[in-house]
Amino acid sequence: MTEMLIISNVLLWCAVIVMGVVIFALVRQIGILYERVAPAGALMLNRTLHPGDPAPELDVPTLDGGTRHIGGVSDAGRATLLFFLSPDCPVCKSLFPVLRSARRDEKRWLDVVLAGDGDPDEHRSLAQRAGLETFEYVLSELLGRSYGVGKLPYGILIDESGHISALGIINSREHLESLFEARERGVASIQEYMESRRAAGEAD
Amino acid sequence: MLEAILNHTAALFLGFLLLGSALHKSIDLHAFRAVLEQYALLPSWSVPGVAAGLAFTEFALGVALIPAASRAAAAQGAAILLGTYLAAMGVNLVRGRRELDCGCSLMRTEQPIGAWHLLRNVILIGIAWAVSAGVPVAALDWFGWIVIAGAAVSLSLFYVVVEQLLANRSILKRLVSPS
Repeated sequence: MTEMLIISNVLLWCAVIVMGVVIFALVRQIGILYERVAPAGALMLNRTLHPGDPAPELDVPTLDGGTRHIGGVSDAGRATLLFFLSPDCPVCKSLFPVLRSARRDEKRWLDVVLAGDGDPDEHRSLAQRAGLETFEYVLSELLGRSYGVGKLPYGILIDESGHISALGIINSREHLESLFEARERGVASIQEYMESRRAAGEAD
Repeated sequence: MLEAILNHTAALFLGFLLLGSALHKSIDLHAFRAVLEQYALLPSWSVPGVAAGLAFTEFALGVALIPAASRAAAAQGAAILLGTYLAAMGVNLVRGRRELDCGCSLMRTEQPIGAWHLLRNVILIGIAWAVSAGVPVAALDWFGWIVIAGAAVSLSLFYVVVEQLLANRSILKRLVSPS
């Protein structure tokens, strides 16, 4: 009898541990699913600017002490991606590799400008730690307010003519690429594109 | 007998936790240094040394918790260390920096600091203080050690499940309230 109880107890501990592993795997899967069900396109929540609006023109200070002109017609015929970030934004950090590859892959037509506000030393430290020293990096609270940036990380694509092409909250590579996709398709956002397709389907 | 089993289980669990945390910090010390800088509680020049020091301290305490001879002192050290982490998170919560990554995830998930992290650390400090009371004298046979090992592993699994649930919670909050 004692022997049976011991065997039973050992088997129960094994079962508890196996179930613990299974529960952990399930909970991890739930977390991954939450990440995946985020909108495929960048979430466009901006009460100040809308696609098609002229991008506010500003001269803003850069981290290296210079000045950068934001907005207006590009003499070089290039678009500008403004990427708003903060040194204490965890999601922003996860997007740095995405920004590097986007700048490399789209260099033919796109300039990537990092934008933030607050303590310049914190931003310099971030740029150094994250290997972003070669990026154009501007610091201006006015820039964020003028562009209606409320949540980070936030991306705004300004086309060659100085108009807002696409904008939205960026939480993933897919969100960033959706800005480029929206520009190519001439829509405000992937959400608008999907809506127009749905409306066209219903009309048929 | 029960006190001995509880003491050994709690010590093993804390040991696993600290060793896992030390490993997590050591694998990506660069990222942990970035987290420490973001906490904005130390002068910048001291961050690299403190980061390495904390990883080493966690490793040393985790190892020292296992043998009975060093357990009480190691548990007191663990309580002080966990209390330090608690204070660091508390200060930044008071500053309103709720988006700060706690830097405490064993599974390398992003976890913005919150009240749950404070509660978690209070519980862990309580466990550490209980262990620091000393190892009760009791003769344990092989079956007793199986129970202790099973309980410690189960507790550790429970801990990582709760940690993942906290990470999921922050993802879900971003999902449902993007503004």
